[in-house]
Amino acid sequence: MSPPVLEARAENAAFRKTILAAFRFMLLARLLDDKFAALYRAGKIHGGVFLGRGQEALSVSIGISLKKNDIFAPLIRDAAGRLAFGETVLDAVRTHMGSALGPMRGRDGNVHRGKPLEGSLPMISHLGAMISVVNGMLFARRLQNRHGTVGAASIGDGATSTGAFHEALNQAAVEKLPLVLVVADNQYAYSTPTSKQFACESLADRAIGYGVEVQNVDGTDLFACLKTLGEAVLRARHGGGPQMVVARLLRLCGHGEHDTADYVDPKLKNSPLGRDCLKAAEETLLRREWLDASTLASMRREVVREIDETVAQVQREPAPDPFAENWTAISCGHLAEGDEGNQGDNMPARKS
Amino acid sequence: MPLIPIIMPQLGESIAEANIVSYLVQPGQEVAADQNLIEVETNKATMTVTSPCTGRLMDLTGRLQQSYPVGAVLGHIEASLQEAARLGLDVAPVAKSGDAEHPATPAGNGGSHARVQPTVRGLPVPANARGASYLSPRLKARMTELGLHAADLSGVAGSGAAGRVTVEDFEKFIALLEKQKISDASSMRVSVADAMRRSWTRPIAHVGMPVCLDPLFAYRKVSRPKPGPALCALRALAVALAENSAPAGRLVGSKIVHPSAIDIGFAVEAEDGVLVPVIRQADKKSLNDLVAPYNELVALARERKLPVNATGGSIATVTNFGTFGLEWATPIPLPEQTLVLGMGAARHEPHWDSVKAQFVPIMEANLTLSFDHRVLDGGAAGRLLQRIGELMREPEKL
Ligand SMILES: Cc1ncc(C[n+]2csc(CCOP(=O)(O)OP(=O)(O)O)c2C)c(N)n1
Repeated sequence: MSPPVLEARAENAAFRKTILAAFRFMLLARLLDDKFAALYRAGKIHGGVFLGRGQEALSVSIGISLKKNDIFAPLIRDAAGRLAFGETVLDAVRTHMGSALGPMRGRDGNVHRGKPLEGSLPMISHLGAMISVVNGMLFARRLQNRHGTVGAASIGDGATSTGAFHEALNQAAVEKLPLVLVVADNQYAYSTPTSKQFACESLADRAIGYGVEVQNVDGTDLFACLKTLGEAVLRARHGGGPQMVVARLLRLCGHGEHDTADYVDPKLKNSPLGRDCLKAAEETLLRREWLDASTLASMRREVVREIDETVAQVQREPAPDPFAENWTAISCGHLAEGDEGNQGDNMPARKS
Repeated sequence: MPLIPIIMPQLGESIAEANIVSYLVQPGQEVAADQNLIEVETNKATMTVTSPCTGRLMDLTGRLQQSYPVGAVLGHIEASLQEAARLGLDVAPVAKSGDAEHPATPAGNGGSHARVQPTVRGLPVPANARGASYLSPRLKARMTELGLHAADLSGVAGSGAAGRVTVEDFEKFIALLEKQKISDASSMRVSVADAMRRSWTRPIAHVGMPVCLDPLFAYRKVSRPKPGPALCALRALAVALAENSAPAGRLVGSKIVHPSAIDIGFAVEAEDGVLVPVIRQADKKSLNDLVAPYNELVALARERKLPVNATGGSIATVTNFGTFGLEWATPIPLPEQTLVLGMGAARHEPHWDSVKAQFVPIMEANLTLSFDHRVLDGGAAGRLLQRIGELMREPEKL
């Protein structure tokens, strides 16, 4: 057995690596979101653009705590979590710009993207619909005798008011599913403040009511989020049953880019909840000297270049052709009758 | 060097246009990709339009405080060939663009490019159906304010995204109308318009056939009182519906609501509109017994003195368009009715008499039946009309 000090040091080194990786994903997500916002306002993106500004610390902590065969149902504010779970910048940009080469082949809305066969679920709705989908997949795996994987679902404070949330949480509790439910309590559901959303002290109370283990965490603190999410995922993975994490933070953008969010209380913006998690993480990393200014600058340059080059590439790509498109569902096209040719995920459109 | 258009973005799902508030840069200045160029205001918020690329701002063609539809070109950026090629940018057609004499088309001027430009070139855009097929919430609110309906906008070709009618189009339309002579429509006109608009939400179809009126005219010679062709048709309709009332049923959801009494209305032209007095239980009285109440109702209607209980609640209507000298018409049933029976003007027609083996003159008029095609089909409507014709050929039995 190694002495405790050495063990702590090794753990510290691993944690440090994770933190730095997480920070880079946060930065990438923030700058990618900024790019989408600019492209939207230049008339280059069809449909809505929804950002996760201010929620990157929480989101990245989900993605980075999951492993390859796990399941992740991200929502509209999860650019960071998606990237950490393995989504490429290319897939995100292709979906937003309607490229035929994207994972959804230019057919679906910007936030409705994913690769279900790889465990990343395209969202159905932001309002609670995805929890039971994750439950269903976890159930299926149990029936198939596949153990040791977990499923994480993101949810907002507004979604905890929906019936779907309550039914699914209860189901996960009764069936002891390895579900990790992450609630981003960002103070508003579109323009509805949380005071009009729930009367309990904390959304954590809802988990207690169903017999689900729950943790509260400061959603603006990357270190705290990583620790809490890491532990919750670990407990779920090792048979601890469903876990809920409630993170308090503030959405630092509109509901979507069409929304200027002037209803947000300025007092909240200036409160600890309104702290920008990316800036806070950056300051902590610089202070602890886990990152220096020049490494940060080159990291930023790299990220900007990657985004810029990806956007340039995608703008040159072909648009979908509705006449040549194979309109069966993308991930289960092979189930469609007389369609043996389509083997599932990412099959190109049928040649006409 | 290529000119890259700056376009009005779609700043929200229901947003079709935005107003230019201010310019944040001036022509001639260098701009960077994603830089804020123009401040615009939708009915919901003030936002900025960003630059699609790095280059030099050539021109800003929109006018301040003017509204432009989504997809309108608001100016141009001169980019290097490399930048345009690298970004796969859509290049503006040369010449006209950037021409100070050809400012951008504001919303409402019928700009031919007034639609969302594709993101990746060739992306399908919404079908360009011009007109008021889609009304934005803002336009709806404005129309409600003025008490207008979608049908009032049928003459406006929209200039917004996918040809929708923008508020600017609407205000221009209204302003244009105000230059013409305007008078108030009578309350009668407005209520007929409302009834017809509601009725027109259904698929209305028509069948017709001629009916020989000689037996009726022969009967009138001997009868006292003397029923006219329209009343004869009304009574025949009542008898036919008493035999089988299903064709006068109304379809509500997946149910047929059957008539509870054979109350038949008839159209009487009254100053700037139509009144529909009703003969209650027209199946229960003979044709001759109907003459007096019918004449009384006609007189009251013409004087617009119909008692309240003399209108409404009828299950079908008879309209005698023959009084205008018309032989054919396609009337529209009242919104709460499935059927309207029409009667054309009587005239002499040649009729082949197979006994005499020659044409003989007869008096004939066209009968039309207009019906809600959801409730009955041509067959059922045809059979009903045939039965009415049959009954009218024996007026003495009516
Ligand atoms: C059933 C339903 N109602 C309304 C909406 C529109 N909608 C989408 S997201 C949203 C707000 C969600 O708020 P919250 O759950 O707090 O998540 P946040 O946006 O704060 O991340 C609303 C009202 C919807 N998608 N589905």
